[in-house]
Amino acid sequence: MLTLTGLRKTFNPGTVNEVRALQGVDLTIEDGSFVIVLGMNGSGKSTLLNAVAGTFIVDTGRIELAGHDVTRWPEHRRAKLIGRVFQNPFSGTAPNMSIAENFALAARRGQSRGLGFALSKDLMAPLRDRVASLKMGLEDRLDNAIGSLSGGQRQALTLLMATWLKPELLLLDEHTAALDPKSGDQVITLSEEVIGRDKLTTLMVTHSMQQAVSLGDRLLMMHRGRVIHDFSGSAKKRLRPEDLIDLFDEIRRRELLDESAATMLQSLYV
Amino acid sequence: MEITTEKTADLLIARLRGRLDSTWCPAVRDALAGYVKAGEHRIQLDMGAVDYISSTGLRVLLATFKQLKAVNGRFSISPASPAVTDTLSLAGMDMLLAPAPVAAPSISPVNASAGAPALAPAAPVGQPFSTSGLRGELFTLPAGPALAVRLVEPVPTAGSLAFPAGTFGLGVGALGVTVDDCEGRRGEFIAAGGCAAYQPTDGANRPDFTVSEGALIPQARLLSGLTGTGDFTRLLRFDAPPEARTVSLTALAAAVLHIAGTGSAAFVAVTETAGLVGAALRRDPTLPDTGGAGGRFAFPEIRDWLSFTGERSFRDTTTLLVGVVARPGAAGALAPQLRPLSPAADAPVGHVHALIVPYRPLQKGYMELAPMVSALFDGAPPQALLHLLGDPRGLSGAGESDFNRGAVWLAPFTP
Repeated sequence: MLTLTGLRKTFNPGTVNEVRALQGVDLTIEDGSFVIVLGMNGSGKSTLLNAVAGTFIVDTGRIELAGHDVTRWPEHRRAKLIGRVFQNPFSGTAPNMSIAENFALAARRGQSRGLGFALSKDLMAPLRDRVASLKMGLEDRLDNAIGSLSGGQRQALTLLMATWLKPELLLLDEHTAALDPKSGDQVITLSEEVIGRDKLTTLMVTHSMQQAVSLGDRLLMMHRGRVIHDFSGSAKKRLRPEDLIDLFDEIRRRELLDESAATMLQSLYV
Repeated sequence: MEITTEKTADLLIARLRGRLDSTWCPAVRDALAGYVKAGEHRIQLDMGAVDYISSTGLRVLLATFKQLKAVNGRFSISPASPAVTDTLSLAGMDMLLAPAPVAAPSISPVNASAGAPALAPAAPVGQPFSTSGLRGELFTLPAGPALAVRLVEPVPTAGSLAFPAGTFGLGVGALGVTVDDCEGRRGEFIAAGGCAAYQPTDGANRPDFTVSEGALIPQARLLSGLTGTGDFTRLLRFDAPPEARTVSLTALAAAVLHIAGTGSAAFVAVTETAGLVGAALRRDPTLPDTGGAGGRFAFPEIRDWLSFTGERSFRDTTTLLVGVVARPGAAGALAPQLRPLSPAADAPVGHVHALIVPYRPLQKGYMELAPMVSALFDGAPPQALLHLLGDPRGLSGAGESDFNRGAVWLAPFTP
């Protein structure tokens, strides 16, 4: 379970570049829940994921994950509990190492790695099976440098690595946004399979309305560093892409209703 | 596939050359839909140089045929290549090939609902009409009871109002008989032609409506607004003038006042809409203030109370308008409900509500109000209900609502 209480984060406080990225986020995510996070650019979605992952320490608030208060934990310590896939397919893997070596690192995430042989038989056999299940023909290329693969292949492998140890929390930050539509669909199908099979608690940021309605059992819409809509259960199931577009339109209209519009409406609206 | 067009006095001729298969169907469908939206209701399709048509193509042709038949338009295929003739005959779609009998649009009956009476031979005949902002055809309607317009008593517990055909209304309220029906959901309201709709403020994102059927007549309770009874005296079918693409709400209101020949007039209109600017309540006005010293319409509290389009919205929709307009200073007792429609000093004042439904073409020529309005509620449900406003804030303003064409029933009244 992930519990966020009163999270706030301001970047560059007191300067002209001040950005109040999180303005009080309270959220409880149950074990096994698959949560979609939607919002316009700059709404605080990625900042929220980064706050949970420990990319920075929040100004105020508390983050609890699987019974630990991780608010002050550095990023590498939280990595023991959290699997992540980034938007950039090149971010999640070490390009000059082979597929197998990358997996060997992932398999001991959060543990001391020691001086033993990394590519043990215990790892290689299940690794070959899992990579074969991607049906990308990569099981015969486990010794190839991961940098030689396409973005879609790397993203699929990153997802396998991030979930190899069944993390307490999986963070997906627009992980298909940089892929072509077909590779994106493959990675989405794979994400659904892995999350469903291992019942992973997941936070997924996306800009795709289609993904937002068809995936997950809960949907959060963020705006200006706050969660402004929270749909779960039957309300989430009933959502269609048009409903989400209506919600975005409504947000936009709220923004357009500025002080001068308010003055105009006071004189013209009866 | 090549698509070329030629306009004759009476028809739009579209020539296709190539194969009408699934590759080209979307392009042909979009082209045909574009002609209909531009007001072409009489289309002849030249398929003499089309050497193959698939079932996808047949569906596109049939959809256009049905759409134009519903508005007393015409859609026929002539000439047709042997391949096209064969396919259409085998599919039982010969009616597309036969040169359809031509009905003169100005005397064609309304979107004939089953019970509509046969049209009397004395159907009104239109006269050409034009002003600076629009042009069209003006019909004089049979004389009936004179139009009267009243302010709604601003009492939440006042009785419910019935809106049968021959009445209209606009304001803030909800459909319902008892106060409980309306509590917490009052919003923008509109009624005309025996139909009434309002935008609930209880979280529903679509308007709710009631259409008169048999003994069922819409009942509503209004907090504020205007209601009217009596007959409209004129029908104006309007189009944009050649030098402009659209007709603005101000131009429409000015034409209504010009035709009415008095200082104040009421109207109901059905329009093909180019864009709307307006606001709608988000919260029932009887609910308590949300805080803030300046009251509910101060910034930023106003964001909780009102939704404002902020830019021209609902392009390419069909709209039902109900409005009361007056020359500046001529509003009399109704003045509290009327506001300037645009910043010009001599601009009419008015109060206009708009119900937005998905686009459908309007038939040309004379038509009757009640069947036309109730036909708007058939098919896909209404999308939104707005209180129209002209946003005069210079560059940052959204401007005002405007329309491609439409029908407006109007009459003068004494405030």
